[in-house]
Amino acid sequence: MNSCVYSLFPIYTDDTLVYFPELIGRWEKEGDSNAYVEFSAVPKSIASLSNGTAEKEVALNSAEEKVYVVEFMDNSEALTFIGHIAEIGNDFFLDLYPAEVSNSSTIPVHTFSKVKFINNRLDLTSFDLEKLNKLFESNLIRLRHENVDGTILITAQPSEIQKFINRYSEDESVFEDKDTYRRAS
Amino acid sequence: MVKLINSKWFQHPVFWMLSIYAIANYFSISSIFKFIDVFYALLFHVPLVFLVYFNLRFLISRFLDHGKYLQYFLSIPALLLVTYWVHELTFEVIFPLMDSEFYMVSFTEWQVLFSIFLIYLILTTLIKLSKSWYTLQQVEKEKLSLELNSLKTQINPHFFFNSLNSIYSQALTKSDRTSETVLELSNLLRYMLYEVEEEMVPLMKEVEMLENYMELQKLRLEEGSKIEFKVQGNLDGVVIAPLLLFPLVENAFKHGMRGDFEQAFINIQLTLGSGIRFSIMNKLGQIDDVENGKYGGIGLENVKRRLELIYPNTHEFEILKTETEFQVILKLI
Repeated sequence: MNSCVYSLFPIYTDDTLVYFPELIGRWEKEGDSNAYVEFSAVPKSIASLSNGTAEKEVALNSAEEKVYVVEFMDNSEALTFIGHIAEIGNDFFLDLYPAEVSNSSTIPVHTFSKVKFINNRLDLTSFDLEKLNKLFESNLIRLRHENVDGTILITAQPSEIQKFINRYSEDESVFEDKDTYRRAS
Repeated sequence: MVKLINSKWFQHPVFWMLSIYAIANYFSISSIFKFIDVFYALLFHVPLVFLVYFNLRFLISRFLDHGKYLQYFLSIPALLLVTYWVHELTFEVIFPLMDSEFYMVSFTEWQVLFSIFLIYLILTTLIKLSKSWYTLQQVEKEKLSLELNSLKTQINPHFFFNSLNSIYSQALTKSDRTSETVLELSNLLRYMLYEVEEEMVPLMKEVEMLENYMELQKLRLEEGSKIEFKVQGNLDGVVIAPLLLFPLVENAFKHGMRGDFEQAFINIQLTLGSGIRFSIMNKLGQIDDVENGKYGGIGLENVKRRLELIYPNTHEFEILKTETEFQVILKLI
C-alpha cells in the first residue's frame, strides 16, 4: 500500500456506497502465495470507526452499513483497514481507512484504488503516486491538496474527488499496473 | 483619452479582465495564484460571456428597450438554464476535447453557478441601463442647449430691426445723435454676441445693457417721455441668465409707446431682496390685441420657455392685464 494516494476525506458518499457479499473471503495475489487480501464482515469487537468527519458507532450488520474489514498481507506484514466500496461512474473504488490508529498524534487518512472482480478474480489498481505527485507539484491538477513533507494529501471534499475520478478513471496514465488476486477461500 | 475610455473596445476588455481575475481568485484552490486557476477562470467565462452578450444584444434590445418587461423577466430563467447547459458543455465536452495537459473538473454546485450567473446578469444589465440613462441625459442636455441658443437668436433680429428703424428715422432727419445711436447699438450688439454665450451674467451688466437700450429707444421718443427705471438693492454678486429681462423691456417699448405719447408710460422696478423681483408696467396701445391674447407675441413666449428651462420651480411669472395697462412681474427665487 506504499504507492497509494492519500486523502483527508473518504472517496464515498452515502449515495455511492455499494456492498458485494461475494467479496467476503481471502484473495491470494497472483504469483505470490504469501500476499493476500481478505474481506470480512465487521466484527462486533470493533467498537467504532471514523468516516473522516466524526466518530460513529459501527452497526452490527455489515451489509446494511456497506462496510468491510479488509486485511492486506504483504511480506509477512499485515495491515487492517475499514473498507467501503463506492460506485463512481462505471467503476468501483475501494476506500480504505486504518482500522487502528497507532497513536493520537497521527492523523488517519484514506486511500483508494480501483476495484474490479469477475467470478474468482479480483483486480486492484492503485493510482500512480509518482505521476500524481509530479502533476500536483507542477500545478497541473486542479484538486484541493496539501504537500505534507513531500507527500501529497488530497483535501478535496468527497463529491469533488468523485467528480474528478469519474472524469479520469479511464486515463491509464494516472494508474499503476493492476494487482490481480484469486479467491483462496 | 476620454474617447478611448468611453469606447466599448476599452470598457469591455477591462470588464472581462477584472472578471477573470475575480473568478480565478474566487475559485482558486490555494492561497497561491496559479496559471491553472486562470485557465479554469477562462473556461468558466465561456458561459458568462454567452450570458452577458445574449442579454445585452438580444433580450434587452428586443424586450427591455421596447417596454416588454414581462417577456424580459420570463426569458431570464430560460437564459440561466441555457447558460448552465453551456457551462456543462464547456467543462464536460469542450475541455476534454482540448487535450490539455491540465487535469481539472468543475466542482461548482448548480446553486452557486446560478447565483454567479444571476449576479453577472443583474450587474451587466444595470451597467447597460445606467449607460443608456447617461447617454439619454447627454442627449437631453444637448437638446436643451440647442433650444436655448435657438431662443436667444430669436431675440436678436426682433431687437435689431427695431433699432435699425430708430437709426433710420434719425438718419432721415439728419440728427446729430445718429453716431451716438450707432455706438449704443454697437455696444448692445457686442453684449448680445458675447455675453449670451455665458450661462449666467452679472445682473449689473444686464441692467447696464437695459439702460443702454432704453437710452437708445428714447432717441426716437419725444422729450419728457414717461420712462422710469428704478433699481432697489445691491446688484453686486447677483447673476442672471443673459437677456432674460430684455424681451420684457423691448415688449414694453414696442407696445407702451404707441399712439398717444402723452398717455404712454413705462414703469420698471428691479428689487433685490431674497431673490430678484422685476416688474414692468406699460400703457396698452389702442391697436394692441389684448382680447385675443396676442399681446407680447414671441418675446414673452421665449421668456416663459427660458424660465422653464433655466429656472425650473424657482421662478414666478405673472402677467396682469387691464383695458389700459399691461404689467409683467417676474420673480426669481
